[in-house]
Amino acid sequence: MGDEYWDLDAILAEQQKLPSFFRMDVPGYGFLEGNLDVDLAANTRIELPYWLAEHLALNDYIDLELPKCFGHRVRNDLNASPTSVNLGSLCSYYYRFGVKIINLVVDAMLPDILADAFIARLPLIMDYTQTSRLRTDRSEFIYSLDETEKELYKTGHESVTAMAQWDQRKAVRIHTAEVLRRERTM
Amino acid sequence: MPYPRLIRNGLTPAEVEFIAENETITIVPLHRMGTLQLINGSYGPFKPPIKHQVPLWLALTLKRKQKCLIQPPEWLDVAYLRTKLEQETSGENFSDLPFRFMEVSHALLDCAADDVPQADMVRTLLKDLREVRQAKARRGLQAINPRCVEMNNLGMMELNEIRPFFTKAFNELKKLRKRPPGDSQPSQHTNSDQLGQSQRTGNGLSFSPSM
Repeated sequence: MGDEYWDLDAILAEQQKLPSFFRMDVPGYGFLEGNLDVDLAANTRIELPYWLAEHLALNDYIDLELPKCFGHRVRNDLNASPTSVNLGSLCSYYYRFGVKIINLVVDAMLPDILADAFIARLPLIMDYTQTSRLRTDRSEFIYSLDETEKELYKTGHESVTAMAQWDQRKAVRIHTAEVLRRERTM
Repeated sequence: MPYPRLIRNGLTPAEVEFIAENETITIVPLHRMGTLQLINGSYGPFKPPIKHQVPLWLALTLKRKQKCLIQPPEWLDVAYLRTKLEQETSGENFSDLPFRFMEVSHALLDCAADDVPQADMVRTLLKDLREVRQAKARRGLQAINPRCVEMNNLGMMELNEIRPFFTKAFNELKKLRKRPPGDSQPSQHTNSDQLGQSQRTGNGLSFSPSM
């Protein structure tokens, strides 16, 4: 919570599902696994959104399991070649979700793996901000970014564009707003 | 939130240039003029060939009206820039150009190019310098860590260009490296010895980072 209270991305990151197991039978909650009018048996594997799982876990109602996107395979992939992992398809809020998991669960390796992957991918993101145009770009790497990285990419791209415009003296002129131009051409 | 991201993240290049126009520069007036009483000070009286120190914006205005010649700063010079370019390409660090070299040179070359000797050559050299320095900034990004980034001698405009990207990357990295407050006291345990597998251990409280 705190400064993330109004942050839409934080809210979306908390929607990610965590596999969890109830430690007790929960009367009348069978609908969570699709059976109406049945009690939810203890030790059933169900996926709960993070915001729910966090509090249930802290109060010892459920046990957690690491989601697949932070499991062995992905870790090995990230160690081997961080730039060729498609984070966007694993989980669109990979890093944000990862940070939440790090803070909830004790895992000695995960913070370093995430941070190293992030650092390794940074220069490549920066390269793309320098070279390609935002809309016409069809590079595979750009599609493999997660939301945090996409935001970074857009930020970098905008400042590079602004610099280029300044260099060519376009910044001081008044243009048609982009929204209007799009409407006219359609 | 309603502002465009570019404005939220810092200054636009035009704003940076506006700030840089307060730098003083030497001009040689071409006409006799009385004292100019302006809000931030009075300049003059101008008597032709006596040199004067005025802010850049005033120099540019006078230049546009053909009322003065601008004496370019000593670093806006082919020989000087060439040595700097050599330093830049041979050394690891950024060479110590003036903090606002990009803005000032841009303004001068744009509006008073006839006062800068060998203006085209200067332009090319500045462009080369900028490219070398950009490549260095990129290399600095690879060495990023959650504590500090060391890039001395970057100019205001260069800083302003990479600031949004770097600060954002830096903040994200800090979040990733941040240890939970009770690191020694596990707040919660996962139930699997083998990550990603749905086996439960006996009491669900023992978690060993088995990797």
